[in-house]
Amino acid sequence: MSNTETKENNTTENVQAQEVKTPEVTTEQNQPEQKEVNKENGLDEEQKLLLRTGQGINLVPKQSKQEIKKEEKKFSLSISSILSLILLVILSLGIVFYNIISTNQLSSAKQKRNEMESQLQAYSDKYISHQEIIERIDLYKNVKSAVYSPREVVEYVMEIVERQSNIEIRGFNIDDSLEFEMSGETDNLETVAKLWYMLGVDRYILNINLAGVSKTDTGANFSFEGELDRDKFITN
Amino acid sequence: MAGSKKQEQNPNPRASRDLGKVGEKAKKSRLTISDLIIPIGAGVILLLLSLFLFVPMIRTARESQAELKKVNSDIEHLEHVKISLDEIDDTQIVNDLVMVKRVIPKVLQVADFVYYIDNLANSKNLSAGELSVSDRLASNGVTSSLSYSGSYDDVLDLVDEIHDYSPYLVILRNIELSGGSNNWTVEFEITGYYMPEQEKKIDFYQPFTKYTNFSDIMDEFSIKVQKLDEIE
Repeated sequence: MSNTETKENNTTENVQAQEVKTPEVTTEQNQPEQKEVNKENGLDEEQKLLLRTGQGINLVPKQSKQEIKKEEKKFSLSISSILSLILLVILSLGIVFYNIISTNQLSSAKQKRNEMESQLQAYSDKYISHQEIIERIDLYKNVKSAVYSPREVVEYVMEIVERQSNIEIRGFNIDDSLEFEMSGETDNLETVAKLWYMLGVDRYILNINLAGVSKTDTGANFSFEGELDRDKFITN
Repeated sequence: MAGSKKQEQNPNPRASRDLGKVGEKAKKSRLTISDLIIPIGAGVILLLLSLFLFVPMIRTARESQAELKKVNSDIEHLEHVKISLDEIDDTQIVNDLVMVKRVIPKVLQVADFVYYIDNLANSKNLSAGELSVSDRLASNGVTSSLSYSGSYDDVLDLVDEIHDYSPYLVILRNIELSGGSNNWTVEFEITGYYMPEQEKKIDFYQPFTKYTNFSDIMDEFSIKVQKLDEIE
């Protein structure tokens, strides 16, 4: 026998036992006592009918434990449904109000912005004049950012060259990116090599190439190409 | 006693039927779908509303908030522009505009700034070489090639001082020094800048910085204008 069937049998037996007992209890001798009890309890007619009386068997069954649990579950589900519906309503109202407030804030801000634009129209001429000045200032800053001192550049390189006393520079070219070409002559190739080394180890000469060297009757001609560090010579 | 026995042996058939029903009811003590209709229905409604109503509304509200932020930023910028323009005196801005337009004019010819270079070279006893005018590099510059000859120091002084001496905005390019002993020649390209008239478009939302914040540059403009006044 399964547990469910066992319980059902027990329930049936309990009901049967209660129904059997009912006639013993509900005698005419006990009626006055029961009526007194009913009166004391203050029960109405409907409730009295539900009680066992000596005149018949109360066939309205008591609820089983499962039914009670079911009713409780139904009650809790109903409560949770009601609560969720309330939450739904509150959420809906909240979102709608949030939307309305956001829209109103945006429209008032846009209105204020339009008003400010209208006010600024009166400053048009002054604004145009200001912008013309600023454009020229910007151009001035851009041009000046590329300005270097040619004397400073030439003298810097010449100072390295003059460490060797027997070198004569014939030409020196500089362009905007501080790349230079230097040509000259000296009395021997060893001096050219030394000069190349000294230019190469200088920290502000980023790179140096011996573009050409030739030996002559009097010595050697040379030509170097190099690049100087812009950060050193362009400070604007 | 006899009556109770009778009842025990032959119970009420109606009671028996009802008792049977109680047994059936006991079997039906579990929750059924009909009991769950309202909670499930509420959940489905909530889900549908969330998907098709709440989410779009929240998205719209967030977009409005983002746009509001931008509009407030615009308002702040416009207020800054208005306050800055109010702080600048009308007469001052007119005078400063005239001054900067003299240093960087609407139109500039080579002769305008070469004149000053020549003056500077003559002051250093340099002799002028060839002069040529290049094509315009850009919409706001005119270039000329110049050469001068003289001593090593004078030639270097010339190229060093051109930027500050010229009343116009100029820049040197491609400097070539050649020579030896006491006679050196310098050849270079010099570009003078101008700013042609353009149709002015008013855009208050452009970044705005008061020109008076660049007082050092305005002072340099002022010095250049004084040089122009000396000659004129």
